[in-house]
Amino acid sequence: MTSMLSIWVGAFITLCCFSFLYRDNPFYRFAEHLFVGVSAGYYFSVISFHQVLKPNLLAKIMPMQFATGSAATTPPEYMLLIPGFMGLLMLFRFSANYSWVSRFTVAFVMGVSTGLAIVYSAQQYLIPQVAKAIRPIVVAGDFFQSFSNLVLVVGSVACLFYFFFSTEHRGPIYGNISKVGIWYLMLSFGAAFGATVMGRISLLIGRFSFLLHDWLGIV
Amino acid sequence: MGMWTIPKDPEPTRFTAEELDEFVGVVAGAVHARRMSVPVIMALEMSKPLSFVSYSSLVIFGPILEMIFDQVKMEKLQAVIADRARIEQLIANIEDLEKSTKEVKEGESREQR
Repeated sequence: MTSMLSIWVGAFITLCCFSFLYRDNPFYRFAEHLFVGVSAGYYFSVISFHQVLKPNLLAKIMPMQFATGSAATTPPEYMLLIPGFMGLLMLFRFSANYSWVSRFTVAFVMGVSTGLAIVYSAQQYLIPQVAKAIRPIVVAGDFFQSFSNLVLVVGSVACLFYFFFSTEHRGPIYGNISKVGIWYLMLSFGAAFGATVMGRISLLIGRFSFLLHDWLGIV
Repeated sequence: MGMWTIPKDPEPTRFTAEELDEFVGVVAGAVHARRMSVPVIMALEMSKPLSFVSYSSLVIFGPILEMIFDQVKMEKLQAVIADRARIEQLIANIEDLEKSTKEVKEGESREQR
């Protein structure tokens, strides 16, 4: 009975979403509001509380009340009251006069995140990208490898030229290299768009399969 | 105005229609200046049906984003994304700028010939 109900609800919401193909209508609006509401509720209750706040803060400050198993007997970590207090400062955003108080927390989070992100990005993206760009352009006896290396090196340099917005993209060298950068970007956007379309089509097939097989039982 | 009502005109925001028109023009100009018209139009067309979801995300993360970006600009962006007609206007503005640039280039090449 429960699975039957979930199939009918799923089919109804799927049809609500498909109704946008005709035009904007109340059924589509119902589906998108439902999605936003459920997502927000799920995020704030399940993820924010049960997966973040409870195990990382409450269970460590008050293990007897919130922790389970052997963790319930561990001594409380009162040092965690400091980040808990900083989290509470964020609630000052609701006050027009004292919203500046929340900036302490945001400044701390932004500073730490930026510091970590810089190190992570440099290790995971920047250095490997530079290392991969330092390649011999001509590999003796291997035309395709030479061509591949040339494409990589030219693309990296041209895209860097394009993203340098401090100077106008003009002139025989700077203008033309940034134009090549645009071509590389367009090719990568095209590939990303193609992958997105393929992903969406597989989702569409999944929905049709659900409607025709699970719901109607035709196929 | 409830969720069942589909407005013919945009919902009233704290910004006037002229202010939002100007903002859309500025965004279109920035996209055009960076020669990113095609990918931006494609992205906007793809995300247009989900504009309410995007708008809700901006509202949820607004308090954080407003500390990094200009608060007024963020609110204008929310107002633009909340309204599908405004997204369409942004796409049309970008296309108009592209067309005018193309016409200027064609005129220049005709003169050179």
